[in-house]
Amino acid sequence: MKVTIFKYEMKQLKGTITIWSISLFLVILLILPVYIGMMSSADTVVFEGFGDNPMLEAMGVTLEVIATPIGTYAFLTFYVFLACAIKGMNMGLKMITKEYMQKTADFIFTKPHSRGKVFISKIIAILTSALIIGLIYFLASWAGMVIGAGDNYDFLIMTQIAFSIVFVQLIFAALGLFVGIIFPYIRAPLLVATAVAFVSYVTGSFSNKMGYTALTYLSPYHYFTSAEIIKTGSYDIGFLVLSFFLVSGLLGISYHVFRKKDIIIVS
Amino acid sequence: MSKKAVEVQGLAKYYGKQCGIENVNFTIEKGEIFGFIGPNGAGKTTTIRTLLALIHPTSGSASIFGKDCIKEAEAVAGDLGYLPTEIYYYENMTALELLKYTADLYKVKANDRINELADKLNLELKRKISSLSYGNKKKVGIIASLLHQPKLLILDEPTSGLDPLVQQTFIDILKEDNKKGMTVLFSSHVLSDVQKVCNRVAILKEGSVIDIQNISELREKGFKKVELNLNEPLPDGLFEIEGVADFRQSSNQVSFIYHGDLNLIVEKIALLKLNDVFIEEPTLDEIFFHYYE
Repeated sequence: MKVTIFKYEMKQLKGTITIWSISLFLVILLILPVYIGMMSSADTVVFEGFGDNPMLEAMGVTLEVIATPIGTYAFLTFYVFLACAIKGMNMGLKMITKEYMQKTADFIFTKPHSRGKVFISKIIAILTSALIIGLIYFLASWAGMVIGAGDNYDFLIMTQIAFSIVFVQLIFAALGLFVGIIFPYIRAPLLVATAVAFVSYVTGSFSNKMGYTALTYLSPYHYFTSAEIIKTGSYDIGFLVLSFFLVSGLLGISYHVFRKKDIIIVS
Repeated sequence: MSKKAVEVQGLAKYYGKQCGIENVNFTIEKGEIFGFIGPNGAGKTTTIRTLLALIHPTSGSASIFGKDCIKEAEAVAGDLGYLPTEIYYYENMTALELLKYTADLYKVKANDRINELADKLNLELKRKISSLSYGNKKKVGIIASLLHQPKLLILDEPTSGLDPLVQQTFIDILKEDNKKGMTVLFSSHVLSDVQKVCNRVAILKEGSVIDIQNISELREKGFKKVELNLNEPLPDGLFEIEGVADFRQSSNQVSFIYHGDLNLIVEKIALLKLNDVFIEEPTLDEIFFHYYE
């Protein structure tokens, strides 16, 4: 890793990290206590209304779970996953495509740092960014839970659900890096990131309902389903291992291609 | 330690079936200013990008100061400065930020050097890259390529976009650093640019080096485009001599390209009664079309 490149990338990411951190902080801090209050005082009519919501089934969350403060938090976090997937994939894509689209690849790759070191510096910048956003989300979630539920929740489960957004960001960032290295001239990375994240979200969300459980594997959101964390008190080890191999595989292939790829700047 | 600054042997690069360069061979001595000349598409940039490990050769090898350009790219890059044809930098940075970032990447403290070069080139360092003209971006590029005092400087069409005064300042800087030991690879399609600074020149065409000449020889035999407006009929066979090509005559107008002893052609022209005469440098395409077919 090269500190100079890492520092430069962090400087570039500073703006988006700030915006995302503030947004997620405010959203969860303001909405969570309101939802917890609403759900804990809801009558049966409200629950019957929720009972028709196909997303609950897609998320694997039951009405009993969602009525609890931690269940409500899990329900809201599932939507945050989508935003984090878009953020992660966009970050991974842009990390590569910006050098080609701004035609700065010649600048960075003619300096005395191997492409491998440049790549690792970029990965560490992504990891740091995901961790900062995850940490801010965790702190906001904690504050929201204290305001909305007092002591009536499991701190460890909440912590695990909160940090799930780091894993979701990293999986999609690895996918973004991979796609960016194969197709470095993507002009609209945000559009591609949104499309991929949304298709993955929909595919996974309705795989259970449609009976195609294998499709769940195409949706990294489901590797960290809150229902499983609430039920067992920890992440699903199988999916955690799968995530590790998925990220390692994508980064390994990307690293190999990145080192060997010809830098051809299109005028 | 290798005595050669650059050694290229049998270098080839194919893009699928399309040939970028083929069997390129040349060496550059330490301290030399070596020209690389050829029309667009001759393979100059492909060769340079291979030396910089930006692209990987299909076959052959290239080394800089005895180190393999591909296998030891990281170590080689520390000895190199590179000024590309088109200058693209991070637009949201100021010129100074970009140059400091460059110095950090080379692991050198170069504030004095940056200020010295910026003064010489009359560049305002506090302006954002995005607000700089093409010529000023090129000045940033020149400073970025020289700030770490490289052992080898690779220049790809360095003078394009620079006004004549800045071109001269840049050439003075090059000559000064060359005296201190810096080797230069100067690629251009403008023959006069190469002639001003280089010791030797490799001539490229269609992906191959077709000739390597000392610049003094090239100058002695200088290529000239001659246009004559005659006041009398042209004597038969006057210009049927070695070195005359692309001879054209219509009524009292005569034009041709000449490559050889200038005194000889001037003697021939002196035999004629003229209304007007133009002797100028032909374009590189004209030279290549007629002398390097």
